[in-house]
Amino acid sequence: MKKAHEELFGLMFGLTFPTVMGFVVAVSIYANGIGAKSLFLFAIWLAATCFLWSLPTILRKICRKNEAFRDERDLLILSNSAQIAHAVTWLFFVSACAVACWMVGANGVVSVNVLPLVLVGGVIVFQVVLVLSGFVQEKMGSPHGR
Amino acid sequence: MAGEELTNRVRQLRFENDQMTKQQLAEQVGVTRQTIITIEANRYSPSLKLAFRIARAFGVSVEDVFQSSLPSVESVTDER
Repeated sequence: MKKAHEELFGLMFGLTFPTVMGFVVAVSIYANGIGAKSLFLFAIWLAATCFLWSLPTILRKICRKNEAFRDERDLLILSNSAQIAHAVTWLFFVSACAVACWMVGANGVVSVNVLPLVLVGGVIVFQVVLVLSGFVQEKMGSPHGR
Repeated sequence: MAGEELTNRVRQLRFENDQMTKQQLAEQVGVTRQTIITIEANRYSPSLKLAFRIARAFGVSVEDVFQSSLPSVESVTDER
């Protein structure tokens, strides 16, 4: 398998799994509220996502011992991605408030289960945007760095 | 800055140094092979520290490796 195929496969799997499982967690929290089951699912999701994203680094460190596993360019990409993900997550929270107001009106009520749903949604959005923007920068390059 | 362009001779210098591979250069300067690829393709401008490490790996000065299309200091002061 070529390196490009590996990266594409990794991206597809790495993005699909946290998104689908994150969606399941979000629905479970919305339907059941915060309980042992939802918290357990959330913990599993968080652990699995962290493991998935650290797997390439661990493998690179084990298989290619001479190669630097993270350099200044990787850190620059990570820092840019984190800034983009922060902005998008902030927009997500603002739009969640706006949508809630728009849907129920000024005097309406919203289920308390919406709060954890929005919080978990924010974490999922952050992760997904972080990975996507990192991948785009990796492929397109950042011409002048910092 | 608009119109500013950085070019480099990393690829040429690699071939002049016993056809050094990207991997060898990456290991020598302590970065990933992908970073060397992006520097050669002018898609990433390295930090000053890395630029010096690359120049030292080839045994030349930084200006022999990296060139800028920016006007020289003399020509800027002459214009003023």
